Amino acid sequence: MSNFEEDERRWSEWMVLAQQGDEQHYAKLLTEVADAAAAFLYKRFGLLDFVEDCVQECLMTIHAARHTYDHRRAFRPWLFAIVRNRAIDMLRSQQAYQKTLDKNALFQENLQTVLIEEEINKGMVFSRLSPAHRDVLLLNKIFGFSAAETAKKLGISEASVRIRVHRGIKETRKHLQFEQ
Amino acid sequence: MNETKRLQLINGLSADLTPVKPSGGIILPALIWFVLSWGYVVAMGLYLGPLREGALVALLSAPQFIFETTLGAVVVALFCLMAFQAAIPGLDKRWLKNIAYFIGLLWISCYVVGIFFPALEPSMVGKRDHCVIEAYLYSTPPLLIGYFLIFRRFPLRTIKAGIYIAIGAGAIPALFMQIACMYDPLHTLTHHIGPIFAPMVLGALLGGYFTKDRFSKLQ
Repeated sequence: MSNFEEDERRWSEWMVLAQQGDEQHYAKLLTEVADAAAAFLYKRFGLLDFVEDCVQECLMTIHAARHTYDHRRAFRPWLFAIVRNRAIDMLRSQQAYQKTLDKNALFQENLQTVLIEEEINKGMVFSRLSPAHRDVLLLNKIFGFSAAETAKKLGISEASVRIRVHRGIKETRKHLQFEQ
Repeated sequence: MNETKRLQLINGLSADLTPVKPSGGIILPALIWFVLSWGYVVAMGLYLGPLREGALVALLSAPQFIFETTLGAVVVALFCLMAFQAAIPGLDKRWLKNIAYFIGLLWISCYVVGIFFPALEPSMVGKRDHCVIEAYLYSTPPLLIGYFLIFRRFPLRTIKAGIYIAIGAGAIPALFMQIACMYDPLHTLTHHIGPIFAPMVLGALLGGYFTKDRFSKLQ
């Protein structure tokens, strides 16, 4: 049996036990799926603080949605549907991303910005976006500029920024779904 | 630091773990909703007025009318299925959504074409004076029951789930009016299918409210 199948079988069994109230297996399951979710997100978004926040949001959602897992169905589609959707929700909410910069504002801000850019470039999702959507998403959602500031920097209207953010998030969602 | 926070969160979530009852499959609840909703709409519709004279005969003899009606029934079934699929993470299917949208548009376009080439001779026979209000009245309980059945699971995209069940709930009375009210494609579009937009808005609002409520509980 491959690792993939082995993980699938084990996670499914542990979730069934968790549904019955088994704390020990549930803790093990959450630990493993958190690592899997983190790997999934790092690969797509780069090594940003956002990813860890997102993993924790995913864990809370998994907890709240654990009654919807059916052992007759595969575990991974259920898990990664949650991960993908929470990532998009967080991307949309903006605040989580802004924390990445705010936390390091007093500590080598420029260096940090360069590091974040490098990490973003490693992530598959942003590099696949069209340049117009990518620039707006990065400025508005990653670096935390307001819509007005983003519009000024790119020489477009605020309405265009909002539209491009909306479309960029939609495009990101598509990329995540197709990669599944 | 982050690792510690994650570990604390995992410990917190797994401590005093309450057993949960798995929500199971979606086919049975979807079927129950479908049958109950139809039962309610037909019972209420017959209670408040008779079927249009000759409608059932037309349903067996006029191919275009049969086609329109069948498409409507398929739309209800597909949107019902999509709504229940949306209630379980990872279960929704893109191809099903595309088919449902396509058939939904085809259903509406049948009546647009019908304005020029009607399936039956348009007439005022069987006209119900308050068919719009009836359509709203009939669609609300199925919408609320559907909302309850879906949101006790865990839809990830709540607004979409709300809209899907609303379309299903709104299309049932629209379809019933096909045989209960007067036949005129323009009247069907404005008085029977048009009212679907109200439950759609309600479904979206309920879905949006649910998102807000759910994630505030998670914090």
